[in-house]
Amino acid sequence: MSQLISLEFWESVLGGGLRLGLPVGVAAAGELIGERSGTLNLGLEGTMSIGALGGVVGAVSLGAVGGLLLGALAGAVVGLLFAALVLQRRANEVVVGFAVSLGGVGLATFLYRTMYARPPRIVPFKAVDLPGLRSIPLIGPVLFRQPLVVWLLPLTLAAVAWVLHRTRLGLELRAAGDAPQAALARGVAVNRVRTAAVIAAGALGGLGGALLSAGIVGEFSDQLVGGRGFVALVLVIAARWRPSLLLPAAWGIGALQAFQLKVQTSGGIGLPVELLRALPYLVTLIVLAVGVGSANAPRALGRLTE
Amino acid sequence: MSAVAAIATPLSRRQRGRQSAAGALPTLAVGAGSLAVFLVLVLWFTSVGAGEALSTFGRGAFGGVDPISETLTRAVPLAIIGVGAGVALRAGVFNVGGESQMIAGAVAATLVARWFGGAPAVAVWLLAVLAAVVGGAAWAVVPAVLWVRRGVSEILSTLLINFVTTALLAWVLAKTVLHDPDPTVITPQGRQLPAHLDLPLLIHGSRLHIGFLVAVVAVFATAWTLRTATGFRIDLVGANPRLAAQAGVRPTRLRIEVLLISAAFAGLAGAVQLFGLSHRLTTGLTGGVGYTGLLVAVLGRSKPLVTAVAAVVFAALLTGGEALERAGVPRTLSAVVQMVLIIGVALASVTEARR
Repeated sequence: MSQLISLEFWESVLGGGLRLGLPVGVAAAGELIGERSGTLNLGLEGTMSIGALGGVVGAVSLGAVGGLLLGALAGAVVGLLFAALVLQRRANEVVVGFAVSLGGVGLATFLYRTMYARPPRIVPFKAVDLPGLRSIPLIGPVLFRQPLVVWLLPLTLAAVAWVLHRTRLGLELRAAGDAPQAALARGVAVNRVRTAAVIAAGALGGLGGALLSAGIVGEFSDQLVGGRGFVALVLVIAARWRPSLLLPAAWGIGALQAFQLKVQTSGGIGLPVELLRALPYLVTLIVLAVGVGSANAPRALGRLTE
Repeated sequence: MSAVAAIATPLSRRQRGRQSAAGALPTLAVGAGSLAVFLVLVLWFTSVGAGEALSTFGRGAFGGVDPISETLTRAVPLAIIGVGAGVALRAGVFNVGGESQMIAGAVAATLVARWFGGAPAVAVWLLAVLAAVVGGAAWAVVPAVLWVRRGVSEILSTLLINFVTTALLAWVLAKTVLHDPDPTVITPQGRQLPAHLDLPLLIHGSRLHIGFLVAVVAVFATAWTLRTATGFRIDLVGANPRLAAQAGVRPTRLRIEVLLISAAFAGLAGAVQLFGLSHRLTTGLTGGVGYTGLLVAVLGRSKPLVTAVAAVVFAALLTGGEALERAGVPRTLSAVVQMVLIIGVALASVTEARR
């Protein structure tokens, strides 16, 4: 129990939370765009895996930043495929989403194993010490001894919030998600707006995967994404489809994961850590049930083709 | 008409005329497309030839008694979950929670085995199956209530409950009476069940157990039920809830019933896997079958007999894929082919709905 009261423990948990929350947070920001336009893409796990592979391929030849770009591009291609199938050809979104999750993970692993005989060398982003600020207790190590890329999450979320609430495109996008028929009647090209949203969502999903592989971990493995795509889906619900709530949600779940890792590696603290793992999902379920549930969810969500 | 096809009607009439009807043989087209993807990936990315890849795959999945019985063993839980999920799909309900309901069923069956382990095996099995079916269905009660009272999509709630349940299982295996006290075990797991509770094997030397017959019964019983008035009501709700309501069927009530029924099937699958294969509760007992079972139902177009065939196809992709891995082709190729199959069927059912 004693480690729970040490400052170092919490510095490491919260600092780790910022890094672990980054990939899922960015992917969730993308999913949020898609869902606000009325499209539920359950294929995020597959998109992130493809993006993670793209991140590795890009990072090997172009460095970590190149990896992020290639990952985002690969994710956008997956988004385009989803849009073509679901929005243009009208295939069922839930079915295609799950298929993409299954096949995307499989494809990424297949390609990685056939392309590389041994793990390629990737240099992930290094922590940047900000002199002066870093010596503030707790806040210093948590906020100012991080790779600068962790700040991509608040930037992305601010951009998403701005587009959604301050631009005409954002207005049309929200209309497509809440009242597609009315939007159509007002001359909004609902399908075109949704297609754009799904492709952008794919790009952010792929970027999330690349941030994980090329940005933070520095490698690809079968279990790298390991359910983070589904965690991102959960984050969107927990944040009640609002970009502003997504930041604390992503950092919160990152910190929780860091806490578990830390406790497990140090041999337990007498808490049922296993139950702790259920906590975020339980909270999300309660948010969904109590938090005026459907009033916040885009009304056309998951019922795209009815 | 399957529910997937029923839901997949176009939003605007504008787009309807644009597409011509698909080929006369969509099944053939989907099969050919999957084969093409398979061959392209093998030829481009591995050093294995097309002929060798196909024959290795075929031998691994169906080449003899051993591969066939292994393929059928893998198909058992997929078929059981698939027919259940198919019933729900017909009424327009997506039960994504197969994974958690399967766990609930397996835990319930484990408790029965623990409490009544001394009783004759047949009695324990029957009681355990009953407990598993009830346990599985009970796991769908919360999504059902949330859906009726709060309008929460069953897709999201069942998905969330999967993650809650996986964590709960880890806790059950690590910290409760079901924990295996053997100190050499690293990953927490349950105690080994008494050997007399193992399901008898159908073929000596294989893993194919009599749970296969349970799956066969489940498939035919469902096929028969769907031919009765109940089946018609389910299809009616899936095709047109408003019309169903006018005809005196209560759509909401019926949708909850099919959600619980599909969950009960998943619970049954959990008990069958427990006594037939794993013989103890483990975190790997479900192994994603809850999700792939739903996809099998889609591939089987919610028809029980076709779903059973689809389960064998998916299982063959697993066993054939493992044989390919030994020849130097990563086994995850199977998942890619599964994706292509599913997407192909999803596209074909849209075209069918338009005709």
